[in-house]
Amino acid sequence: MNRKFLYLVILIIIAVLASYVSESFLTRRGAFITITVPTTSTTVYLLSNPMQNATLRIALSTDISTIDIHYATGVADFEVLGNVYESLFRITYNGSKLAYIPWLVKEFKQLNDTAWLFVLRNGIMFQNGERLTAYDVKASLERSMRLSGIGKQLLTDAKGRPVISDIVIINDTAFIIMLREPFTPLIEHLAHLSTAIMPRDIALKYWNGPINSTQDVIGTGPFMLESYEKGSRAVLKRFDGYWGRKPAIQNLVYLILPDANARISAILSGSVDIATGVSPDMVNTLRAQGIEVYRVTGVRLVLVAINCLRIPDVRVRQALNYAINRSAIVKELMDGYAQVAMGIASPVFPGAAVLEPYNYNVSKARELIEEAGFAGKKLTLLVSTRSPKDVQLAQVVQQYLKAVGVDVEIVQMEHTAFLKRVFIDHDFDLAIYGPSPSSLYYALTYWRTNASLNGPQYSNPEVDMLLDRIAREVNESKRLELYRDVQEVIWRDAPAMWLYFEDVVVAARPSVKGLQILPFQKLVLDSVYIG
Amino acid sequence: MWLHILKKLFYVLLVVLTTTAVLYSVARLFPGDPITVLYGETAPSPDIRKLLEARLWLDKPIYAQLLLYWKRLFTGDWGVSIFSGEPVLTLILRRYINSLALALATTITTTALCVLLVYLSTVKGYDKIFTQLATVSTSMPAVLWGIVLMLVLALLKMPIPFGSIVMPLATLTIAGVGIFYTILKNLIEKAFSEPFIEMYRAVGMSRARLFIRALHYAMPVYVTAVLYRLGLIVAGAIATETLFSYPGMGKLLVDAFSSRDYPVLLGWSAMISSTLALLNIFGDLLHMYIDPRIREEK
Repeated sequence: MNRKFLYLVILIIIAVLASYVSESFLTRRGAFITITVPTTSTTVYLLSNPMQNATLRIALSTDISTIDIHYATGVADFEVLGNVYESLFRITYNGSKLAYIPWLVKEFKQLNDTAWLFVLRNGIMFQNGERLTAYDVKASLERSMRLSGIGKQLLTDAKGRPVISDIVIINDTAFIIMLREPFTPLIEHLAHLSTAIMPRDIALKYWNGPINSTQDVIGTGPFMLESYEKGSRAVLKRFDGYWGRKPAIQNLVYLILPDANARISAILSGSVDIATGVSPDMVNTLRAQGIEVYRVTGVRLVLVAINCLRIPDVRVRQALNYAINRSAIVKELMDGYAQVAMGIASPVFPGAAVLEPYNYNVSKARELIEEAGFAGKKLTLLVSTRSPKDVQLAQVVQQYLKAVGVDVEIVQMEHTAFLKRVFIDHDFDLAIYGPSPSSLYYALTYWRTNASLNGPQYSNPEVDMLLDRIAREVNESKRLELYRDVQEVIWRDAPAMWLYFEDVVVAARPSVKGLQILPFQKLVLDSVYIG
Repeated sequence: MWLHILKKLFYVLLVVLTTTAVLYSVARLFPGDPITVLYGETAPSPDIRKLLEARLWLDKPIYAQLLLYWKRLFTGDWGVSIFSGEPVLTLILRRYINSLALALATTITTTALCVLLVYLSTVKGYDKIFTQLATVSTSMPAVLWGIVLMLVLALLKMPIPFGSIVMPLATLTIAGVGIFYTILKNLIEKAFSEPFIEMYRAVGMSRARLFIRALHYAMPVYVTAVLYRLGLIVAGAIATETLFSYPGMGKLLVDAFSSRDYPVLLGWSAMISSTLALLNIFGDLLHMYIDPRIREEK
């Protein structure tokens, strides 16, 4: 009896000691230099890129859902396929604002209100050895407008008609895009990867459905897709015929590790060089172990959509906005790794307006709710289980709304079921999600009447009219004014509780140099090398 | 004898048909479809949606689709995965072989470890410490052991081989040793209390040789338990596979279900249900072979 008891006690002491020791290992300071990383992405310009046979391993948190760039919707899709495909223009980030620069296009000129001339660069090769021509561009853009959900969003007008009426080919490298009506965001939208260029034969072969063979994943980008094991990894290889500066990395391996612990362990142990989807509370642990952490203001606006057909009274919607303490949420829930929303589009977009904030004002919220006769109502709050932070946010929102007299019941749903319920059936009172637009105009088209991304079914003819005018307004300062007006209207109408812009947090081992990050959670691997 | 086997095979067929029917119905009835997954928050225009529905076997009602599928199943045309375009048969075979390898390897290592531990415990007498270790092993689910293993490796700064069989193998072995040690030990002790063991003792056989005899006696029951777990690992080591990114059947189910990849789901259920049913029969036959007494009855 004594012996057994002794063994048990020793075992328990060992277990406790082990947990203490391991914890102190993980948060040990002093032995490592804490590296302070600037809060904007570091842009490193290298004059010469050392060519290496290095392999770069990156851990992703979600799997890619398709190998067809025109069907890409998730962050992982664009991350992986964005190395294989390129668009006519490219989105870059200079640390505070986004810029849209010509990429496959050498020069472009607006001929008149509805016609734009583009000239492609010479000598761009596809990964199958074919040369890029204007015919490939025409086929790709037409396919994107036909099949791609995002492509259609980007290139259709308010009445659902394609903005582009025709693409006229002049010769192998020059073409004219004819528009139905003037469309000022054209250049920005041609920078989105959903309008990426693929060879004409492949576009025609898959004219009616998604690409389903890895052999046909051919783009103009610096890497080729070598293999893809669904749910496990994607392996890319450097394309030596790339037209631009060849990357220093020879092999890119994307490992899909949905478990957050797995990603952290992987980067700590050196199994991967870069880890995306890092939760803010792990940042200090990682820094203490010598891992560099990069953060960038993101474009993802986390919001609580308010079904405008079920809650038509704008006073109630505004009240819900006054009931939330955003800075507390950013500080406590996100550990400061987010920006309180001061507008409906991330500050990285040129033209994003900073609007009058909805300060945390419980009494005003209560007042508005009483006025509208909404006190004591019960609402359901839908949240997808795909993002654990969103689920935590739901509970926080529930507490805040309870304090102003609105009872909220949280319903967690599997992601695809959530998408159907919110965006197809529109069967919800409140729903938490976070759109990630690629341009200011695109961010605003979410709020158009009957837009497919308009979950809350918000409808305001003034907004629709302003968006049409913006698309046609050639004068830049006038356009910026209109942008500000439309943002003010949507902000005040509050079809959602505007919460915060999530920061993009990426961890990288100190041997990884030259890494840049776009606010869309996209890694820019142009200048990366292992040093 | 052959009638007996034929009856058992018919039972397998019934199981396969029922399982595929149930899984497919559940997947179809669950809100969301592959087109929603393809398009995310955006939505295709109605004519594109119709086009895709026809291609993806979504235009007919569930029972019609199911009958069509059953016909295809037995002619070997299992369709292609909606997302990667790979033929379902090759995809599932590849994942299945991975899972089978994992299950077999785990069974071998667990059994080897158990036999060793039971030998040390009954013949040499290191009983108490092993019993306590066995309790620790069973007290945590496999996925927790996986995380512990991963953290240990991270602390030791050793690279973690994601995607290889080593990690899930180690995890499942550690998680499974406890319960099989207990089962085997009880079986061996029961065997040792049988009269024939006493007879061998009296004749002067060494304890080690005795142990092997007792093992033979204990095998049938042990094998049944192990086969059951083998089947479970093939289909259900989902959390462990996800943790270490091991491309097996468990992860395939999760991915296929969340992306509503119906052809893959159907193929998965056909494969797994037939496997488990066949394993059951194999267990019966093995039992019959190892244990002469049952053979006599038949």
